[in-house]
Amino acid sequence: MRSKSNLLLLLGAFFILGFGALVLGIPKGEGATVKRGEKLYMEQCMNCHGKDGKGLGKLIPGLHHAELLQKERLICAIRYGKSGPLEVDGQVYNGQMPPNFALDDGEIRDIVNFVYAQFAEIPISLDLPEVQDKLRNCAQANPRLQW
Amino acid sequence: MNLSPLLMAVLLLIWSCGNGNSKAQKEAGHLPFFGEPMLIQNDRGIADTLWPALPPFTLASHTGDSLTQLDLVGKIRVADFFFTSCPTICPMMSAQMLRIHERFGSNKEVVLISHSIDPEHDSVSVLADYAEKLGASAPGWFFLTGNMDLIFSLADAYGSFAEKDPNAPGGFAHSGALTLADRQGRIRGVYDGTNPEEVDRLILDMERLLAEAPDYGPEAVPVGLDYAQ
Ligand code: HEC
Repeated sequence: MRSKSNLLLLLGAFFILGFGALVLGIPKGEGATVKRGEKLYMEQCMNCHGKDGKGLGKLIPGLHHAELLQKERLICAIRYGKSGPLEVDGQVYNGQMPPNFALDDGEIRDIVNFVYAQFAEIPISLDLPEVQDKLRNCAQANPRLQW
Repeated sequence: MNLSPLLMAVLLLIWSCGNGNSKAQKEAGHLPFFGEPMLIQNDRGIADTLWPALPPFTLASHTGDSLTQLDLVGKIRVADFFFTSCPTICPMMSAQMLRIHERFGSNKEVVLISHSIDPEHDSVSVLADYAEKLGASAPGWFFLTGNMDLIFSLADAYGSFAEKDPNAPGGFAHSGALTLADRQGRIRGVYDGTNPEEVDRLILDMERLLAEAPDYGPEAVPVGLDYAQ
């Protein structure tokens, strides 16, 4: 009996949380950045990482891995690209993701927000100052790559 | 009243079966032939219709052996033109080719051939590494490299396109076409390899081609390329 009511409680909690996330998770302003980000993702990333973000064999990593979705890592990769060995979940990738200097800071924010909304376990949304702050960090970490 | 849509459907079915006898409708089950027929004439008129087949070739495969048109005799093939360092559409083409490989990989009558249009960089070992990482295996799928002029001309013959272009991303301009050819090397379909729905259609067309009698249609003659190999 007791475990049954616990289960019901749990289910109820999940329902409310899930529904709440659905309603609150993407409020108005953030919906717009995600929408713009979706369009940009389909133009700039989908060809390699796939529409569903699953990547390609052992050539291109999927974007579901929490490790790759660390804010700075994601943001830096979009602008500066990524090459050389990269290990995720025991799989070593050694491909080349080209840099993309055509995207401005706001567009990078939009792509990041779409990637989080679509592929991350817990969607988060970044604002422009935070993205620009991370971009400054990767510019410092990649002095060779500053153009 | 509720039965009437069903009744209509049954009637339609009967009607369409009854009309299925015309030659045109029987033919509708076959894929078209691409290219122009070659009419061989004698002094009394047309003696025979021949169809151009894909040209002969010899290229190095990622397995370390060479592959020629003779290895494809009696098999249907899907061909594409790509390069391993391509930053644009190639990963999409490879992803779609992989779908086809997963579906037909164990069928000995199906061969996929991916031609590198950057043979200087894409050596046999680079292609072997790419194939392994993609999850592609011979003899269902070969990655080919060799003489660049030959490969560019093959692209043209397959209804695709490739050329060196310093302004294009990665240094090459090329098409994302996947070309389907039958057991006699005649082109039967060209599909957009970056569009999953077109590739769904390609997969259905491959089933149709596999079900077709090998000697169906006009006799094929390979049209050669002027390349010393
Ligand atoms: C030309 C193909 C290509 C395109 C386009 C591309 N990527 Fe990548 N991406 C790769 C490859 C290959 C790797 C793995 C690189 C390696 O092995 O070092 C990668 C790695 C990553 C990583 C992991 C970075 C790290 O530091 O570990 C992230 C995140 C990522 N890509 C996101 C994106 C996003 C977002 C876009 C669109 C703005 C994008 N990629 C566009 C091919 C691509």
